[in-house]
Amino acid sequence: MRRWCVFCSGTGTVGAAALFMPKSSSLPLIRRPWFAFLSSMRFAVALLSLLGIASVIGTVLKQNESTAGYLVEFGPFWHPIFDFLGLYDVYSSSWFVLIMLFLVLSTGLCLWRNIPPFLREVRSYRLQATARSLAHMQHTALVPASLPPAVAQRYLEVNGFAVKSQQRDDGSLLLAAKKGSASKLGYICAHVAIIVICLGGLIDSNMGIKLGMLTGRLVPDSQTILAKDFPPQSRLDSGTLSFRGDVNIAEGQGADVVFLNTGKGFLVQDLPFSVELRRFHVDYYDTGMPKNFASDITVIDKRSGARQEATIKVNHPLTVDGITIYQASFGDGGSSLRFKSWDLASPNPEGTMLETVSMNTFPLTLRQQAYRLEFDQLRPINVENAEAPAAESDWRQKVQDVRSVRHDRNMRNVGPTITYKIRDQAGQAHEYMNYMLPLEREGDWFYATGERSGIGDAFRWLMLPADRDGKLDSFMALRQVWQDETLRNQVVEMAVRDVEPEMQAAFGEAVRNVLRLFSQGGYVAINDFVREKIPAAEQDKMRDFFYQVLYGAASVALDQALAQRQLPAWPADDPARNRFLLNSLDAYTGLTRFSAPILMQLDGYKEVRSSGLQMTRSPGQSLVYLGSVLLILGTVFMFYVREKRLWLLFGPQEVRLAMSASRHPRDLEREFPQHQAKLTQLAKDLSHEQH
Amino acid sequence: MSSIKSNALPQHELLADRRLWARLQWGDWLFAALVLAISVYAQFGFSQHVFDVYEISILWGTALGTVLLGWFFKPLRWYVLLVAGLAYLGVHTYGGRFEAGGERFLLRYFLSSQSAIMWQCALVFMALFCYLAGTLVASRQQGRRNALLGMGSGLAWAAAVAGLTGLLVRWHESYLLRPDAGHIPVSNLYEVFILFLVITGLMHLYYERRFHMQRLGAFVYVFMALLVGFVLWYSLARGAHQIQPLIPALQSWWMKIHVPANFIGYGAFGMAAMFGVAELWKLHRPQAAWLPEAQAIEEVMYKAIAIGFLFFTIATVLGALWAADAWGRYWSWDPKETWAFIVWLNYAVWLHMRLVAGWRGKVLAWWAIIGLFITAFAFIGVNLFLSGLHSYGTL
Repeated sequence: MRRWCVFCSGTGTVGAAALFMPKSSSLPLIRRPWFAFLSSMRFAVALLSLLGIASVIGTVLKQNESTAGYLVEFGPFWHPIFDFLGLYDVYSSSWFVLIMLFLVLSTGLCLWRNIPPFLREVRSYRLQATARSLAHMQHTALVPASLPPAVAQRYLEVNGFAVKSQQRDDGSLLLAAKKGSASKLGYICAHVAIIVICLGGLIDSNMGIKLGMLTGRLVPDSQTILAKDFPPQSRLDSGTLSFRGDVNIAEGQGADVVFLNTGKGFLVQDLPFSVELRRFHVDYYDTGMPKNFASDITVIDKRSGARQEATIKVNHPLTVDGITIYQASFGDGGSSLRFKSWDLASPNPEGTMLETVSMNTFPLTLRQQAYRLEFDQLRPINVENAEAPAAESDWRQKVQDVRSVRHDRNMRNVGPTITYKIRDQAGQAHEYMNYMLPLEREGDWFYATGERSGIGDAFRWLMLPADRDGKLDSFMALRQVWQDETLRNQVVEMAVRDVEPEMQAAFGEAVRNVLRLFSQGGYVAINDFVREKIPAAEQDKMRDFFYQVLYGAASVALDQALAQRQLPAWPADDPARNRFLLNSLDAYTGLTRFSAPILMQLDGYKEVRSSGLQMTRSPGQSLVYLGSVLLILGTVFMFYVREKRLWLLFGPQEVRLAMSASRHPRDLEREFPQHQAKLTQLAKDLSHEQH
Repeated sequence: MSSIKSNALPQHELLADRRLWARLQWGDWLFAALVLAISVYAQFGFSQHVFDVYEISILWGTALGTVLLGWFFKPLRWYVLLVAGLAYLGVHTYGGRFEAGGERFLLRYFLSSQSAIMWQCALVFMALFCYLAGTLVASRQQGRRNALLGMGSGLAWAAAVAGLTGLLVRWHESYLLRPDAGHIPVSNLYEVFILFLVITGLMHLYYERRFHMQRLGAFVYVFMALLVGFVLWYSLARGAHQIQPLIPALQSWWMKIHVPANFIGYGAFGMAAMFGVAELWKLHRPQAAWLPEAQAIEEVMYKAIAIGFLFFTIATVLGALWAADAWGRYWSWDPKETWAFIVWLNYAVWLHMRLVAGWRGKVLAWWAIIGLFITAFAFIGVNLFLSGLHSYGTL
């Protein structure tokens, strides 16, 4: 049986055979071997497989990373090879685009060859069928001759067939019926869709920019920072067919360009309008996840000066002049920060105020040493999970947990943090992270500053205890006592006041030494001294003694420090006082190991946010959508509309029934006997009523 | 001859109008009326939620689709009504208090989302047991049907009822938990797995009834049981069943149509692979009378892949439309998108090979099984091994 409606059928073999045939100029175009090959299904399937393999490579190998990263990962041998093959940006590499183009070509030629016969086929009722040809079909039978043609036609119509009848010269009558011609239109739709989608994608790809870079018309710039400083060969005017760029705008500021990342630097794309960010909103869930972010923007047309106000958020972009503006990211746009800072080389407890701006760099000169303060992002909200981690093996608890979709986590916002670096003249930098508000640790409150020297390292935390008022004042006053020798000596005097007079001198000397050691290096200095200067047998005893001395003196020192700073006295019977003292000793030890020349405690801020906007012009988008609709329609028609033909030839003696179907022959095995039986039934029931 | 006049025709049953609406019975119209009533209730009964025009379109599109599906596959009529009734009962029993879930007997043991989903998991295992035992009995007796297979189908229906009820109640629970941040439960890997189980179960029940393929239930339910095993591990070990609020990128009505469409595709591909196993079995042991004819199995496998391909195409297109809104481009070659493309290519070539090149038999069956692995990688592997824009359901 001939397969009537198979798209591209058999062209693979035809093509292969035809390739070896001598070329003849009399051959019509669609019979030429190259045409048959290019439009064959084999070629198309090979292209699809290649696309599949290329796509897998593109997902396994991380795309568009930094060159240095690739060099480390693949080594100096493979890196240039991979780079040359375009494996770092597979989807816009020239060979990938070439495969796509061939796919379009192949599908296009296939359509060109098949559309005319298909349309003929859709229109045709196959009225030329003869008694002989019908009798030779796979599904063929005779039905009683008493069947009236009008009844048969009605039967076919209610069963969804379109029917055409033909009175023949020999007196016979042919009813030719067909059903599901849309199936063939489905093929056409689906294959046209592939072409339309690929064309749309090509229009929206960065081919124009790539060509511009190849011909030298466009040169990406990797040094310049400000848009206005970009040289003309790195700028694109607002007439670019399609582009995709990003720009960061701080609150209260505006931009009239976007930056296009080419992988080798940036290009500046001029916009026909400017965008001002009035305000950026961000909300969080109780888990600390962002709930919503939105930008209030004003778009000002450059030519007419017309202003348009809008709010854009994720999933709700704005389209102006064919350019769509998306909410892409957000960050710190340079917030005003106020720090209280202490020069760590000076005992002065009075901090100085420091006004700075985040995301900016400031010079700092301290005792003829020049430093640079590099401020990173201010993060106003930091959510911590204050819950103790559950035991791993507690299955009963886990089974219990599965019953409920709620899991109460004790999430807490612990307030703003600021990250900054202090870089010395040699270029060495340490990174610091400071919490503005005190953090609770085991019932006590601390001002925390983390320090690290490498990006990947963990922060080491300096935890300065807050006093009864939640401030650093008491600790700083105490620190002044440790550091100032005169004050320290006063503490020694007070500490030995109650000791028996003959012991006073010796004990005073011991206290003075312990305090001096502690002031220089905290517990570590005392421990070092004990290890180096005391015989091994005596070390534990001496260390305990020194600690006793230190604790005693520390209490005296606190009283004195508070009095000195005219702060209210802290009663000795308050248990919090003792914990504060111990925490202070730890904190002071930590401070002696702190590498920064100054201590900076964030005291206040005024947040200025920035919004990352992505802007695109993609005229191919509507083509892609059109193609997608065609593709879906085509798929539906192809799979769910079954093309069937049925003939009834009313001859002089007999009525011949025959059926054919393009696909789904098993359907016909069920369906044909049903039609046969029903038509026979109709012939029996209704023949006597006619005539 | 063009003078055949239909007005002069005699009356006959076989000449009566056979169009869809003419074939409908009172049960179909009652079903449509009830779905209409439920939709009206859904739109106006939740006054605290303001529907936008897209949500209303989706609601009524779903209602229309449900009616048509019920007309197309009649058992879905009582399935839909039963699930709606149970879900309503669950929501009603909650009475607006989340805590009621732990207090009320009905919620605690049956209708709270987690209880319903655990019932679904248990019922899938029971269905598997019945299908396996039924298949064993069928192979001994050389018979086609037996009571155990019938019980398997019944349990499979029950599992599907429990699963969809659980999802609907979970939807309500998300609003009880966070009144301003409730969402349809298709937002993470756990939720879509439950959806996957429901959809695959229903599709299998359709094929089973339509093509008399009860004896393939054992194959499909082995696969389902594996998925259930994963779901159980995922919630026990990772606490994945907890309802999390939606990140901004997922706060879109697109999610309501993109994700379910995708899972019709995945479910169909998964089932096709198991049919492939069954076909290979039959080809290997043609004397196994308890299995349907290899050609018949292959026909169903083709039908599953065709419907899967159609919905996968729709889902991918919907995904592109959504991506254009959320990420600013309809196609970013993000790993998830790329793997969706690979899955699509794979089945596109499969279909070409069957329909155009006329391939049949072993190769296509093996290919359908391999297709499942490609699909599984696109579904889970990408989340496990590759990171990208689409990293919502991490393990």
